[in-house]
Amino acid sequence: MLRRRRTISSTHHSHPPVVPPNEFISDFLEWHTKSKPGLNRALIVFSILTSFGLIGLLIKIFTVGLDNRQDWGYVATITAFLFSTAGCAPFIVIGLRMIKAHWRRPIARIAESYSLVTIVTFLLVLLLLVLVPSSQNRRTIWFQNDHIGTVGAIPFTPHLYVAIGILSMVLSGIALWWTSLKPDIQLVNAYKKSNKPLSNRSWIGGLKQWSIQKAGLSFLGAFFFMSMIWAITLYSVDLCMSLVPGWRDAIFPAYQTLTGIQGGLATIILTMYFLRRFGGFEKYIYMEHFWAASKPLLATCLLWFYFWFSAFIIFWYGKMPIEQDLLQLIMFGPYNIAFYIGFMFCFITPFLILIWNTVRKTIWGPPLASAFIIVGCFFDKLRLYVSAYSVQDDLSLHSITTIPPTILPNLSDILIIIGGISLPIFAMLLSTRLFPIISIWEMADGLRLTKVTKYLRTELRVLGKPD
Amino acid sequence: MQERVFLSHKQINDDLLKGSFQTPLWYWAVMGLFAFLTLCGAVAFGYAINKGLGVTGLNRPIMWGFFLTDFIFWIGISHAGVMLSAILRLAKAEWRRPATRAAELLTVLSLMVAALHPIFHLGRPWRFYWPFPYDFSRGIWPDVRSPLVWDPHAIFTYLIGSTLFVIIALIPDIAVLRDKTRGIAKVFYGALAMGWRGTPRQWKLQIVAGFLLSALLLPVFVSVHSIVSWDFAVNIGAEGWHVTIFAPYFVIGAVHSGVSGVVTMLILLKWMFGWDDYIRKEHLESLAKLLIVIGTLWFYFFFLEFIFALYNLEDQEIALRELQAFTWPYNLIATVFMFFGYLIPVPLWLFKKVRTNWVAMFITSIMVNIGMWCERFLIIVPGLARKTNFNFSWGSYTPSWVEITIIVACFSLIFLLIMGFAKVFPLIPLFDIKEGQILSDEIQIGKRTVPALRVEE
Amino acid sequence: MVQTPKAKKWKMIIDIDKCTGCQACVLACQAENNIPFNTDALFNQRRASEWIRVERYWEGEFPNVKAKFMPVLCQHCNNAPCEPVCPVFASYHNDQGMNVQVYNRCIGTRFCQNNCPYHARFFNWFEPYWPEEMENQLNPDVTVRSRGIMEKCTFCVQRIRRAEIDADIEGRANVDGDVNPACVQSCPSDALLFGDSLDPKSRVSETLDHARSHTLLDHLGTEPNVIYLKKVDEDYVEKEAHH
Repeated sequence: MLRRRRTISSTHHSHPPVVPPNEFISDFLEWHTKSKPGLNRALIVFSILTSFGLIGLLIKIFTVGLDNRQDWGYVATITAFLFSTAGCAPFIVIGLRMIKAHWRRPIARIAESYSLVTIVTFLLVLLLLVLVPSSQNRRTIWFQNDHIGTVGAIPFTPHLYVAIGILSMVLSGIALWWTSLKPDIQLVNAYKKSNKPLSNRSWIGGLKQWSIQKAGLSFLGAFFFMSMIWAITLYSVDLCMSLVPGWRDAIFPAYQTLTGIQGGLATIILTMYFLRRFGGFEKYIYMEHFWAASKPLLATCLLWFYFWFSAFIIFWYGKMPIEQDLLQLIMFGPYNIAFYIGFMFCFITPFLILIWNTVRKTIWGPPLASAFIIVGCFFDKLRLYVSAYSVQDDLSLHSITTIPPTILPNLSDILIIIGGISLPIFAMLLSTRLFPIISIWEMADGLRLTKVTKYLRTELRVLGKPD
Repeated sequence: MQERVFLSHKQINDDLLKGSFQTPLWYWAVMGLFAFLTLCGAVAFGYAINKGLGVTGLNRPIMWGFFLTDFIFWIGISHAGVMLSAILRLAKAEWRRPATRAAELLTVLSLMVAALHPIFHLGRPWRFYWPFPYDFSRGIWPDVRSPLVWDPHAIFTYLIGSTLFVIIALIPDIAVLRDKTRGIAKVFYGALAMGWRGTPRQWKLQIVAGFLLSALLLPVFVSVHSIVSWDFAVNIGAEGWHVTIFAPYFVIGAVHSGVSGVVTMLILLKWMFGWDDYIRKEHLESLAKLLIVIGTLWFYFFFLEFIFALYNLEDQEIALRELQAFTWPYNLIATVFMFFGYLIPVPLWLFKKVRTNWVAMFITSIMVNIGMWCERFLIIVPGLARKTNFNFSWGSYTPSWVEITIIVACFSLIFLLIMGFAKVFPLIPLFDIKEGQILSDEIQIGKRTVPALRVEE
Repeated sequence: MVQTPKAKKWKMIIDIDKCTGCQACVLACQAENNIPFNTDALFNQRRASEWIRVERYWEGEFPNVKAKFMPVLCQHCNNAPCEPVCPVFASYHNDQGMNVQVYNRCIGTRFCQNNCPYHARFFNWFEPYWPEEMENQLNPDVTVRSRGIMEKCTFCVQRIRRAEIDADIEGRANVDGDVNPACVQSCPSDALLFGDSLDPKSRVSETLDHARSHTLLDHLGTEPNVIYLKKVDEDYVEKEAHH
């Protein structure tokens, strides 16, 4: 029952007063250059945790070696997990820039900085590629088909092309991060009154440089988008699906891309929350950002279910023995607990949290859903990658012959998991220490374009839309 | 670059209500033609009921042909409405304003026409209502395991939702018409306006209803075409159908063809009614950019379907792809599909000159729909023509005059209904344009004046 | 006196080695089940209604050409793909292991034929027509299907019911050989064998685990009730295993 309201629009006080751009710049530069002991302590803790991961990896290499895929399932899981959470985070800000959404501004640098994590994941992918056999004589997307006579047509498959694909994602992410950072680096240097002489490549901030930077951001953004989708397609097919005979799932790369987008968004929302809380950025990161981010998050949760169900119903309805065995392997058999946790935490719980508008409009609601999603993402990757790597059948067969028993993580696996989860946190903390963590030029732009005017009996914000 | 267009409310009323108050002569001629074509289709359908489906080109193994292709095509076009109206309304994109009603109307009408197709293709069409659970006394229920039971339920849910969406958005405009007409027209519009007075409370209810319906229709729209795709994908018999990608592949293909259909429709409206102030280059450009993204996503799904077809190294799947790519007439259809559906339009749309050119956009959007119609055909018929490895029983398909007539009649029925609607109701929502005018503003930044938007909380 | 019916599971065994491709089974089925006449034109249009058909595959190059014959009929799959897809339950599995088509429930969506991997189902494209004199040969025990209805092999269910009723009247159980579908009855080379696989004394039960037995398209998991015995070919050369 709607109560009659006295005014047409109600002022929800959903945003703090608009800060003039120069005030923001000076406030933030002061925050950035002051020493933050809390941050330094957190950096030390997480660097130790990340080094556990490296130690675990070294233990694994020197004890079991790179002979058996079964021992490396958890490494594949953590690689896929890192791709799906931190690795896909830059895509979110690229998409938001494309649709010119204002709420991207405070989180742009966070998202772009996560591309630094992909350097480590690329090295892990190179390690995993050693375990993957050549794509001759088995199911592959590289057109090695003896019926149509293309065996040997493309050499060095899949190793060379997977490496190139993922490297292109890494490099374009880093280039994007650097292009966005350049104006801010100059600003920080000027603030710190550093004596570095200006060179031909310094950032002056003239019209030409800004135009090139803008064009570069959109080009690199489009390139990152395409290479991200290609990289995810490659590692989900060549490093997971093709290692299980009988697994033909055309939607799997798209499903993994979607979990990547969901994970990336969840990562950004969580980081946004912690940045607001520990950085004291209540004036710049407020309810509107969480509210705006919660809508695509809800959409990705629904899409997660949709993509999972599309695969499930085809296999389950058709009742073909090969596909029934596959469902046992990756969903209802030895890894069923991981699957149920992933299903609960990637879909049901965040869905139940985010469907309520009052919860979406809080500061804590979307981060809570995001935390569930990140845990769920990890277990979802677990049930897919550990099960795929545990298969010992010859890859030229039509289907798996036995369903291997559950593989539980051993000590090196646990160390690697701890290292893997703390790696993005460490990367983010390091970025906060070394570089301005809020994109100064983008925020200042937004603040310049925002004015508050009176309209009838109320006040409204007016957002400039120059293009 | 958005230029600010200043339109007074009176000018908006006059321009957009032109269709209801003036009728040029060509209108009647065109309506007559479409009515005639629709009648031909009705006659053809009557003939098919009387004689049996043998009058079509269907045979065994190809038991689904043009009718099912057209069915999926129209369900595809119906996705335009929700994409543009609901998603852009939820995203608060300003450039949706002229397109919403045309898109929603296209959705409702194409859904109705799509719902006719299962009746056309049934062996005993007078029993078309048997998949619905109505038989409470005899206890003979439909089989809920069948995708053909999910189909009509999903389509009718979507139809009811979209119709409500159109009606709710229409009410303020019907009220304007009620206030501007006399006599029997006033009684008609008055009844439909349901007492709209334009009070703040009524506006708030109308806006909230629109938002709620937008949010609720989104899962429906995704599920309708997914359920239609599962008509094929759960099938283990036909070749090339049992793949997991069908659901999102069909949905994104539907959005691709639907949004292109809306572009065609908007350009036609602009030319027919002279609505140059309302349908501007910036709308065309935004639609074209959206189409680039959707088209490329669609291409990714097509690429996945293709490489996973060859993934399993199966003889009959290879035979199917050879049929599709290299055998006449499927190779021609495949070429048309690839080039018209993606390879010509999308690269052209990357150029601003093409995006802002009305004739180029008209031609490319029609191309996309021709290409997508061919794509649906290529999914259905070759898969049935090469079913399993009993190649003694493989077949081929040629449509008959009955099928072609009925399909042409469906197209003309849609045009007939759209033009009829345009006579009675305005095809661009008046209140949306007026709202856009109220919300647009300008701000000064330094020496520049930048167009801006007033943002509500 | 109606006795409690004993559970039955009908199976058919087709020995491809004995099949000569004479098509007597096709004709017998047509006569028994009121199937309209098939003409050359109908066959080329792919609209011939052949509940059992003989598929013929050529192998080899001239002059060493061989023809391989394979009679294919509805496999009465235990895991029938045609059953869950019918929206109106016109295709269902009865308790004797047979897939049954209910003519007056069918609305003609033809989804069942699309999902049948064996191409075993047929549609009535027009009203069936026989010349007036030939209407006398129609079987009164079998429905004449009108246009728009799907049909397929029923294992001559009318003969099965007739045999069960006769056995009931005589107060005995059915024995092996009581009931044979028209195709089995008419095969001159005894290539077709029909019986109750739950009866341990039936010829079908004894032949079920024959060395040459296999089912068609078993990778689809349809579990057919029609078992084929492979052809014995002295010139067989072990071909390279295809994936």
